[in-house]
Amino acid sequence: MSEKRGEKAVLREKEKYVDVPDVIVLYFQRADNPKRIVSIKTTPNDLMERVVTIAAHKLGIKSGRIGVTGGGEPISLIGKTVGDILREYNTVSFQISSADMLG
Amino acid sequence: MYLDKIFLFPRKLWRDIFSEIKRSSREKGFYLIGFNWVSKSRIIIYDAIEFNYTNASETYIESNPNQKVLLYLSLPAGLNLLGILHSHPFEKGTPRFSSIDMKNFEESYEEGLFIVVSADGAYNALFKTFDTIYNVELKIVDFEQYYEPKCYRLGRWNLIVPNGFSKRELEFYSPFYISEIMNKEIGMIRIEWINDYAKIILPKFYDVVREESLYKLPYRIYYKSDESLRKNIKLLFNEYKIKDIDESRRLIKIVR
Repeated sequence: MSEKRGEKAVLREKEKYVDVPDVIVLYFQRADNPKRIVSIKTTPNDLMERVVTIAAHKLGIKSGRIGVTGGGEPISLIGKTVGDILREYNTVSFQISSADMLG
Repeated sequence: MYLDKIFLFPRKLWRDIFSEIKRSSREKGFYLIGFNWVSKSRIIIYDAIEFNYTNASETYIESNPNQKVLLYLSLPAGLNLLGILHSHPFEKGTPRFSSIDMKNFEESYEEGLFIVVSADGAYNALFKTFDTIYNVELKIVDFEQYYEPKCYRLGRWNLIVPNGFSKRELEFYSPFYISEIMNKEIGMIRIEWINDYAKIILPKFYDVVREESLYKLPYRIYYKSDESLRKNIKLLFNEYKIKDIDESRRLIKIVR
């Protein structure tokens, strides 16, 4: 194992590289309170919008309009599956927050 | 019930926001950024970032939820999104919060300061904490140096606290503030394979400073490509132009 300037390296196991596993756990963090995290077990064919709605509900976000970032980038969810998002953003960790609607 | 808190708002920022509000017949909304100095019972506003609207009219506004998530991610250690200020251009005198406003505070915030400003500059302010809502007064003043923000560089992170924050308080609280940033960054760490070894890659960033803002606070924008960096700056700060990039300090200055 080698270690240099804050970069840790671990030996890669000899295994077949899998694109996206059959069962995936996604982690959602409340953007306004990073200590509040929920995990959702899902599959690559599940709709990401559905998973985000469940995560928002579990995190106590009641508003219907939700924003999501993954890897620091805003994510466009519409019509995309969990597998699509994982391939595009290469992360299982997301931050979510609601829009503000004022009259 | 009595609320033992003082809400400090810099006079110049208040004037800037109000002149922005007066220029438009539509409602305007701003995220209020600042420091919650718990031991001194002070909530100090340092900056206001205008909504990136997905819907705006004379009587209704809606912010882009992606802007808000990005804003939370970009805050330096110590600072928080403390609440919202929005305008009611259709009202004069002390404005009243609408039922839509109240529903939003209830559903979207665990704690927060909510200010509504009428066309003639009168305001109404509420503070929500632990499901209790208080009517509050703002102290709109020129800040003495004691309350102005001071930026410390701790490792790769910026920490912003009031000037009057003592060294002892820094020792006590900075690990907590930094850990909040680390908590956010953990989700952005990537693994890169080099031959048979996995290497941890920390997220790339620039600290973005709005040159015309009152305290020139650095907001950290994480990005994957130059294109996404520009897109994220635009999403967060609306229409801004890049004035200067300092590669060595990972600093970008932007102007309107």
